[in-house]
Amino acid sequence: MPPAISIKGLNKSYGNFQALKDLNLEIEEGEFFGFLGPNGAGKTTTINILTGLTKYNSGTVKVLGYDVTKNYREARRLIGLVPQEFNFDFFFNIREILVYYAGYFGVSKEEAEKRADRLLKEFDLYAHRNKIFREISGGMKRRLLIARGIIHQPKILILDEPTAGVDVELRRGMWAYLKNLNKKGITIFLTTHYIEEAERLAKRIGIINHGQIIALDKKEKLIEELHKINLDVTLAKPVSRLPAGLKKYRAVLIEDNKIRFVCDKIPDKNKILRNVKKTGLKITSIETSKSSLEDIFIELTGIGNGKNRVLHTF
Amino acid sequence: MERTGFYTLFRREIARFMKIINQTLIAPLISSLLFIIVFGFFIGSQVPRVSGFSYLEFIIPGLVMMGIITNANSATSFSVLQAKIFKHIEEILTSPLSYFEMALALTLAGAVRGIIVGVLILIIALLFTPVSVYNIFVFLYFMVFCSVLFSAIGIVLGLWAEKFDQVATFGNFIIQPLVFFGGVFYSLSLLPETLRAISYFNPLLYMINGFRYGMLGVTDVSIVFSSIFLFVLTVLFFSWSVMLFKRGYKIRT
Repeated sequence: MPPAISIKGLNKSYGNFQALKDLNLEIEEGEFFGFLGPNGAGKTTTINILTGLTKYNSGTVKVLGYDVTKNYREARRLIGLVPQEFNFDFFFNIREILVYYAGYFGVSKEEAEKRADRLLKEFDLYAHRNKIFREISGGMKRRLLIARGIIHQPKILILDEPTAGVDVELRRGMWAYLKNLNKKGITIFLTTHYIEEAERLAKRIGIINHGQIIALDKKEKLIEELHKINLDVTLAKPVSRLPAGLKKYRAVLIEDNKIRFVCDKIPDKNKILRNVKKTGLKITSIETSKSSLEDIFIELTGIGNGKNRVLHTF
Repeated sequence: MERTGFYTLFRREIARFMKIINQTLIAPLISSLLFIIVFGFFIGSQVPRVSGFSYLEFIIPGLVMMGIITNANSATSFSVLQAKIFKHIEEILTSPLSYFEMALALTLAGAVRGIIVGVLILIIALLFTPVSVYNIFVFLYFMVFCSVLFSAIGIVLGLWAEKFDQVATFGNFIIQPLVFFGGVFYSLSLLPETLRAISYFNPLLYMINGFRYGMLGVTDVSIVFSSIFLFVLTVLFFSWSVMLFKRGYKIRT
């Protein structure tokens, strides 16, 4: 069985800006894959290449064995896309939007209408079926995006930040829905910058930053492997960068006056503190904590300290 | 061939212009009606016969062509540009339709609008003067191919344009003058030598005269040349539109 998604040596530039650098990624059929990364990391570019909305410079991209350029029709038939932005036609009501979209994928009008009505009911949109998308609320639009993404019964569902700006209740509803879809055998590729979302849903997680995958593993493993103990040392005076004497540790300046030491096991606090003191810095307090996926994300992507530490964990 | 998908897109485009029927069908009919009444009826009655026909009879093929050309063109250009601006062109681009099918479905739907407008203008003309068809094949040929040609041009225009203003400008500054100087309201024989020579460079002259030949049996230019010329242009512009879809010109980053 070919993998659901196979990306090899993918490069993409927009003018001088290299959005993806030699990206490699493989996703098996039936997986629930979480694709994490800060804004501008290359998530949407990757998705758009998979779905045919963006061209690429080099590499191979296959969907269930079909090349997205050479066999673009077969590849696109297998994918359902839930884009980040609302891209509906305001000439048609929301039911018509669903029916036409299914039609493009070869679903007969009769069958498409049946499916549209079923989905509209399922997503609590049926009462609004004769409205155009501008007349429904933001949460409803998000649900409509998902309904449109699955009306042609794709094997792979790709979601680009589906819960952006969605309230907690609706978000939970969507999570349950996606989990259920995955149980039915649909491969899910979920892009998000809500770490909690990836942590709750995905079985495997990839973290992308500056167009490169910087971590890729099973969620538990990723958390376990990187499940370090953090020792946060607060300094009396802010520093502009990490003192050279501390370079031998995995240490990150998380605030001007706070250094985080990431330790594999229970840290030898005294030794670390001695070393900090050696550099001439004055400590006001220390604090230990277990890292979450969020910490890993912050550490790997360098968000928060303005630096970019790239760690290869694979 | 993704038949259902292709037919769905075709149907959708027709449904689209039917939703704004006042703008897409009624408005061109009203302007044609005004031309028929003012030029054909009021002024035309004072004008001597042209090529053996009353002035009204003479301008009707031209008015039909004008309706076909402008409407087929705005059908696709506005639809494509709107789909681009509001991003719902992504619905088609992520579908399994081939680039050829995308271009063909859009082109044919736009052509349908041109043909509907053309037929409706003929029906209105019937209220004022008898309408005859001299050669049904030539008549249908020019009606259909002109619709397809300008619909395909509309796709190219819609893909190229970034603002509605640009699409409107093309219609007002290029198509409209070419139509008016293409012999809708006069025969070339009425023009002085120089203007007549210049007129031969106007591609629309051949289309309007070809269609007039189909209806009245008179033409200022060679009907064989006009037919071939129209065919070649149609193939050229349609292929161009397919190529642009394939290249993702201004629609894929």
